[in-house]
Amino acid sequence: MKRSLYFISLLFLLGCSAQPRPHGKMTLTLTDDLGRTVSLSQAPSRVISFAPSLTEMVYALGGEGRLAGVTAWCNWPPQAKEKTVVGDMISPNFERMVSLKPDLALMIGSRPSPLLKKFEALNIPVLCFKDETVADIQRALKALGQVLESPSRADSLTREMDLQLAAIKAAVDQVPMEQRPKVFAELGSSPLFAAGDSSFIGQMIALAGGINVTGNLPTSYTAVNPELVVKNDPTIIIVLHPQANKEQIAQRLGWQNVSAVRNGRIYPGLDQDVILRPGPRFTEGIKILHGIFYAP
Amino acid sequence: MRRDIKAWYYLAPLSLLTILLGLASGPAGFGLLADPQVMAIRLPRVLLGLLAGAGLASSGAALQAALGNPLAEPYLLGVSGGAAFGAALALLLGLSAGLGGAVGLPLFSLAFGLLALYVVYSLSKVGSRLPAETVILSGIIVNAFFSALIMLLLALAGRQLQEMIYLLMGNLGMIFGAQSLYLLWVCAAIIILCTGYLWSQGRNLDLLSLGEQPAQSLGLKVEKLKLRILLASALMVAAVVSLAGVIGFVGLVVPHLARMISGPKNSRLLPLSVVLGANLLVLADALARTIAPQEIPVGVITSLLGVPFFIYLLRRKKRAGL
Repeated sequence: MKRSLYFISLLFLLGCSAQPRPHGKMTLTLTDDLGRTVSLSQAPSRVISFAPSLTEMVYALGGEGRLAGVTAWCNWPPQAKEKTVVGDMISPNFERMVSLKPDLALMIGSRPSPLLKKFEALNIPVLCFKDETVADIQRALKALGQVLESPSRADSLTREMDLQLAAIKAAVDQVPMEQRPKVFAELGSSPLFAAGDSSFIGQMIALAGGINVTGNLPTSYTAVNPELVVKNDPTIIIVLHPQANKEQIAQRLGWQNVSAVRNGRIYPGLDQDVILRPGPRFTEGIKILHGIFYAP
Repeated sequence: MRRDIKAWYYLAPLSLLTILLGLASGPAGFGLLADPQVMAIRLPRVLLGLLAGAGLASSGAALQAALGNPLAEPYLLGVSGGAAFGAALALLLGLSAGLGGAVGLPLFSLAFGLLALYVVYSLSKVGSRLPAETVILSGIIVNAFFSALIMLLLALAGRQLQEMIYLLMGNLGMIFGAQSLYLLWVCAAIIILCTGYLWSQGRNLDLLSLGEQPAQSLGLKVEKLKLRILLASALMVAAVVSLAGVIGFVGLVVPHLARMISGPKNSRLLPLSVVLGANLLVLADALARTIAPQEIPVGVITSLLGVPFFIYLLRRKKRAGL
């Protein structure tokens, strides 16, 4: 009897702890991507996100109820636009942030920003994630899954990503390197902006089975000379900015003989947020790119 | 032989060499017989370099004479601030999308440049006179105002931040759209006409540098001349900024370089400034295109090339006992 009571009460306790309680006690110690050790004594209930990609992850994990503040760039899912805006990493509105009484801030970057140090000084825990590769996205999702008490959802999301990546990889692997389309990704037109292989879009192009013609640029995003495009002769141009349309690109000085221009394979009007944002929707972006690269 | 005439013997072949070098260098490979498509990109760029260098240097030289101040430069008039703000605003409003950025942006830039000049002019007018010091002061104030506005736009820029920064740093790589060619011709017409006008006023500028009162008593219409010089300089600067952003150093230092060679006579100084400015900018841009596949702001290179040369000339002058 005693023992059964003990079991029942134990079950009851377990049942309680399985409910996500906003202020539930927990001791969670995480190491973030900057190598900082962050301890949370209770589940965070007022989170500020400093990146649209992180905001998307919080929503994907069902943690939107704990999201207190977002940046002006957080536009997905649409209801994220109704959250309190606290500026962004470049021009943060510090007072508004503090007035939200956050118990966790989420940031991106590979170096500690001045903002991060400000939060540390106020003893507000900060988790900082890298956002440069697919592995970074999956690692951030898993860490956020632990923090937002939905680890199983994080696992199923990352598994789904792996499956979709594997499917596209299988299709791409059948195409020999020399038959893959040579892609120029245009990120701005005055001056012309391009992306190197170390950039996120560079990796997206490779995963979708294209070859980035400006891949050997030393930095991830930079202004380039339009001669480079003539020299490297891409077969496809994807336009990831709203400043130039197909006709204008086709009429550029000296671009008339570029293969992509000759064959009319210039693709403006792509959803930049899906393709350039290192968030949970990146597999959609790869599918869109793969569809363009291997269009019949 | 006169020193400036001797200098021309060196400058003529040097200019030819500079233009050839400008046409031969770029990330697509060194050479003049490259793909004609590549030449279609390089030729307008070299032209813009020549025009911008000439325009900035000649307006700098004329302003230094007209305002009687060795530190006067094209960017002092507030025009550059206005023009840069106009360009940045066009970028932020997405106007660069309208006509490929090739028309909307420069037009905005030109309009705000001229607006800035008008404000400077109305601020500095005392009765019917334009005292040099009030012109300089109003120019500084108007520039400060537009600088503040530019900072505001930078804070609001978000995605366009990088493009704006390139625009403000000065870059000859913005013209590769088909429409930008028309603008290049407009810009060329403005710069050639205004430079020609400034050169024609060389003797009057010499008179003016005697001081305003003496020049007036010798029968020179001082106020009218100053206003025209300001207008010609402002037009040129607005044209240059609208196509190439804010390129520093050329307008301030090239006239001093030229003066070291030619002496203070404006009719000799102006053509020399034009050729030196054009050469310096084309050479700097050729270098910028050879160093790296990325676009490097040409203003950085002009300063890096120009300063040591300037120091060398200054030291030589000092040894010669000025």
